[in-house]
Amino acid sequence: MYQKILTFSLVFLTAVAEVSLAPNLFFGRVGADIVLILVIIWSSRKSFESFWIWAIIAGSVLDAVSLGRIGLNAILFLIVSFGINFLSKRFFVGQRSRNFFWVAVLVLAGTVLGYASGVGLNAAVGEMSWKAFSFRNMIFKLVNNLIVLAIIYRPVISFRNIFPIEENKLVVK
Amino acid sequence: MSNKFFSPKLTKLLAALAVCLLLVFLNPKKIFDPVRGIFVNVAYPFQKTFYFISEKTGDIFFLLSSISNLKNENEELIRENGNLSSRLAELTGEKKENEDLRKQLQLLPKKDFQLEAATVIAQDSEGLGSWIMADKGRSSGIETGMPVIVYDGILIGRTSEVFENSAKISLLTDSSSSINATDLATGAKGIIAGEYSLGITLDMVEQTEVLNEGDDIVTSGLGGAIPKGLLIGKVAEVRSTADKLFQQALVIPKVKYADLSTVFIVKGTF
Repeated sequence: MYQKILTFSLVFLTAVAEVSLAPNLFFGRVGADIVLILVIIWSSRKSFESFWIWAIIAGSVLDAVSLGRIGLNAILFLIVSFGINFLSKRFFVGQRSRNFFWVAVLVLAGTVLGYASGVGLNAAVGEMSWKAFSFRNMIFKLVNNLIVLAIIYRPVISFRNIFPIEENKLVVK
Repeated sequence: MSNKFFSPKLTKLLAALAVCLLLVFLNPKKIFDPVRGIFVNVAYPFQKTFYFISEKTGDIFFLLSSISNLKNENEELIRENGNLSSRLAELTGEKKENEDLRKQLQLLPKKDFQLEAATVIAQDSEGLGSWIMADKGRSSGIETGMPVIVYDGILIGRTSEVFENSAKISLLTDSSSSINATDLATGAKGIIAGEYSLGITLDMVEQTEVLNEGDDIVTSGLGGAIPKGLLIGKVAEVRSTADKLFQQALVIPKVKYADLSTVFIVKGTF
């Protein structure tokens, strides 16, 4: 329970940082997707079955804090989390190779998917138009997200008692 | 259809997606407003602190990155200083003309507004420039739909959601933004609509009206929600709509919305 409260607080503060801290600090005044990166690191280390509820919570908290439609980011995080698990299993990416570079590739893919689907989902519910899609902003996001990943990757992996990370073991029956 | 296709994991994903979609479509019914209000109120002190830190840190980054450009900038500034001296003489005459024009058009000077100064504590992280969040809300008498200006009576948007201690301001670049406006020089009337980070458009201007590049666009006061005479931006390009019924103008805002740190919410006029 204590760990869950701690994790929720961390997700909440990360979401606040994404809308209040990041836009002023990064290239092009385009904020980094800090919560998305956190979700990608977690998803790469956890099974979908044990993580999906956190994907919904993280997405909904981000939507609430960023004054968007509640549920939109939850959909994105669920798809990203499922996709990462699917890819990890299909391409047999073992625990050892789940290193920084594998996560960086996932972050790049997640950023493109997140940006495109973010605009797409908002366009679908009438909050935005496809005109809002900007390659310049997407490039800035890719660079900014890689910088954030480089900063937070090691602490997130190190503090297992705060972050819900578990080491999956390969069992041969 | 085989059960193999619908694995427990895929079933769980589809069920979760269905729940999330339901949440998305329940949003307009405002059932999440109390929950969102709690989140926004709890986030308020953190947002204020984070935004302050990021602004100060951003300034340091900017200073460091600009050191290498200082020499070039200095030379440019000396040249510009010479040009400005000559412009000053011209502007003294134009100032008088501007004051006369302001009187003729009955534009409201800033001192006539009942203003509430507010600090920006969050902004759209997608870089679309569609919204910012200010640190004043219901407790300071802020209501939905109030115009928001910066230093010189330049309109930047309207309050779209108001919480206890904070308010969301939808900027003019937001797609939902729609404000009656007029060309200050020619009097052509139209509607200002958001075009995301691309700028703003003055739309629905009749073909018989005159629009010129470089003209200033101000609020027309039609409808009564926004006072007359608030500066919006400058016309950058004039074109016809696809059906040739109306003219459209691309308007470049007078201020860079991403750099705003203090705004003024217009609570009323004296």
